[in-house]
Amino acid sequence: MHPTTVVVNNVSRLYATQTGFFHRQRRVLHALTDVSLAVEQGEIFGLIGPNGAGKTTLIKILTTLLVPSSGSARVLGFDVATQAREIRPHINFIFGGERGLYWRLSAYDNLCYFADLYHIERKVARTRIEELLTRVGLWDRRQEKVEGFSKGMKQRLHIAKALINTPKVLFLDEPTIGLDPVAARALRSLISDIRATGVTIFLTSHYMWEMEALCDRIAVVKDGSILKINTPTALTDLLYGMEVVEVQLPGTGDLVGDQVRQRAEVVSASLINSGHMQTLTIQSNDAPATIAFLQAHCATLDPARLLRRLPNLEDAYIKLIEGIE
Amino acid sequence: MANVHLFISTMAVHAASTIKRPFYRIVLFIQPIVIATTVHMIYRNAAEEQVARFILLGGGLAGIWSAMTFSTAGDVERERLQGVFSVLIAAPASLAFVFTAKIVMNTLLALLALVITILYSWLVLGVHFVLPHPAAFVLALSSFLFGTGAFALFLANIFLLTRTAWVFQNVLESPLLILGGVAFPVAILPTWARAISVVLPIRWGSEALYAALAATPPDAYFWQCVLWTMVTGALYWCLAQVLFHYIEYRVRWLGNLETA
Amino acid sequence: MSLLFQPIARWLRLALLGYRALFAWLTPLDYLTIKIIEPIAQLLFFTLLGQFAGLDPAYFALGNAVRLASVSGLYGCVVVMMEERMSGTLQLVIASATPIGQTLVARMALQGLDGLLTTLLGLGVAFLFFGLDASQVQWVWLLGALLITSYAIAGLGLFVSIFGVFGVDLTFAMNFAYTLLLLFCGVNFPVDALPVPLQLVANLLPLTHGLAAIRAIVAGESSGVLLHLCWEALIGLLYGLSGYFLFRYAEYRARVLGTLDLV
Repeated sequence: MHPTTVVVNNVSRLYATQTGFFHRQRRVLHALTDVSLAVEQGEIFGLIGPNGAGKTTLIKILTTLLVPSSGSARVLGFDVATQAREIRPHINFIFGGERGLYWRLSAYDNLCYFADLYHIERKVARTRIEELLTRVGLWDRRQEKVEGFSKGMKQRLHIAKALINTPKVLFLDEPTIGLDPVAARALRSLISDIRATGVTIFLTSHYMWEMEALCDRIAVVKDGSILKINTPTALTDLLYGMEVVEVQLPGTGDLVGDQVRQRAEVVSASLINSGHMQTLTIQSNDAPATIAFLQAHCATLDPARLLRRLPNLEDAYIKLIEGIE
Repeated sequence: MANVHLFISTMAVHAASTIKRPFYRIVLFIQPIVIATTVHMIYRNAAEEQVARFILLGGGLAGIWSAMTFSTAGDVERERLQGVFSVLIAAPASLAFVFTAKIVMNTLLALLALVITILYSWLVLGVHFVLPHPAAFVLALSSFLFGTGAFALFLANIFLLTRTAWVFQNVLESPLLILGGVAFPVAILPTWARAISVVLPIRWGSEALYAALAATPPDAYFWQCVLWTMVTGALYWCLAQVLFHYIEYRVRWLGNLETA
Repeated sequence: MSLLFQPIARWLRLALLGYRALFAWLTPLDYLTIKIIEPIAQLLFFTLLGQFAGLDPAYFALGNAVRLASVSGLYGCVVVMMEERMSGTLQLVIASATPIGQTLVARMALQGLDGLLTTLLGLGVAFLFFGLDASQVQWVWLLGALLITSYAIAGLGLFVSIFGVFGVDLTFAMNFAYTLLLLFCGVNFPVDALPVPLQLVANLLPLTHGLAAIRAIVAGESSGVLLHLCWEALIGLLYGLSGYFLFRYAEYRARVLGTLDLV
């Protein structure tokens, strides 16, 4: 087993498109620009970033579905562009959502099929399928067709399918998307268990608290480039000395937000609409001063709807993505 | 006035969505050309007058029927899949009214199959047509379109009522081309098949059209065929109206008909 | 021995499970209507057409019975590829440990066999109801010829199905190919009745030579049968290989150039 399981050196990925018939216009999309990282065996490595940042493109390169336009990437010591055949038996992936399973087959038959695709011996496959389906809680439903499964059940079957070849590296692209909280929690527990067996895991998600709970290190990706790679704690420490004030306001959030942003101690203020209330999240270097201002200038302020807390990964992510110094 | 407006706009929306479907264009173009070419080649040693009728009607009517079948059965399922069916039920206009507008448009679009057959036969196959009795032909064609449209409206209701009936749209094409006598008369079929074809407007409409293309003037048999086309068509139209009410009853009162 | 058996058994399982997973017409009702009733009705339509024209119905019945292999071989292969893309499993299959060529052949394998079954059904109708003479038939040769023809058509089906990854409308493509087989391969009239350029097209399609061989076998003749079958096998192989290399090209465009989305 190669100690540095995944090595990415200055990888870029371009897409060239042409529009128009008589006056052709060529556009080049830089999906990834000069990305470098290294992941050790047994790590859970996270990728976070806005939609279109390049996370899925990077995952597709590492799973040999795409070839880098420049630079190099190696998985388990093998080059992704020229040694894809050597890599594929030892990795597996889930791209999230409900697709990627054969709906007309039962859960059991789906795993049989993927076991054959990965050249698992029949006897071994039978034992492994029983173990996996039991582990993901689908053994009793094994003969039912996937088309009748709930989203959560399909996601669990995805996990079972992704483990069918006991991969050394597992790529999970938004595995908990669309799941209810109970199902999502069960899935996260499963991911932790998998890591305990020494599997290296690449994980992407938009749920920051999930990434904070699971990942050893996280890369923040924006516009095809990596902004930062570090542990969740270290990323959060970028906001050391700062506090976060969250306040819920009944419709006056825009006005209050504009006023709050003028203040010297306020680093950023973002507004989210939730139903008839608006949640104003303020990153402040002097939380007491900010709270005092809110209490003095918001007639509608309800103390019960004001929260003062330490920054978390999501706050650090916003700071990095919005380029706030 | 509002009803006229709705009828026309339903036809327009339906035409726009139908024409855009690639498979519909295949049915409209390829089906008539295939049958016209096959008939032409089969009759390649026959006299031209004999051939022309079978090419024109065999290809054209087969194309009309295939287009009607595809668009009617397909429309129902598409409306259900897109969740539009429930909107139609809840709208002020009656379901029967809306579906009638759709079928009328289907019929007019399907007529293109006949036009394509005529043009293809003339330009590519070099077969010339003579219409000995234009007025009779127009009358026969109108009755054929009415009968076929009414039958399609009836079928649309069957497809609305049961999901499994949708599967049978796969078998609507060829069996009905046989029973309808579009490329050869039903007289050559066994008795039991002829008995089934008695209740099909497509059969009587085809016979009326073939009679209108005969050299001899329209006779009593021609008028009988036209009459039976209209009668069977009217029968299916009435059945369709009854079924529309039944569908609304099942959706709104019994609540045991899926609309999506 | 086990080393030889295991890959074969695995490949067979891939073929069977793939067929069950992706062939959309496997429910009893769909299979009955699409694979049995409608094809037989088509056979009846053209046979009755020929009979009414005063020609030998057995000729039409035999031609259309053999052509029925295209329902699975052509439509079936295309439907399978469409389902694979819709279910999002194509990229999983590409990125797995099994070479894509093996998977593509596995997809085709049962469609060819299924096509053979439909053809046998059509032949049964032709023998029983349309006066096709069974007294001269060399049955082993007939079965072999049907198998070769069915798989040759499946080769064309594989080739057509790959165009879907390039954005070509597969419904149009498969119906266009189906029409070519119906019009140009000697199903309802001899190939030499066509204009010379179209005869050339006919000779480049599967079914043409296979059907010619089958007509000779049913008539108890042996002259030219082997040559026709060799041509049929070669044409089918060429289409199948073209489909494979077209897919590898699509893979190249997707993986390397990034100008194609294979999902």
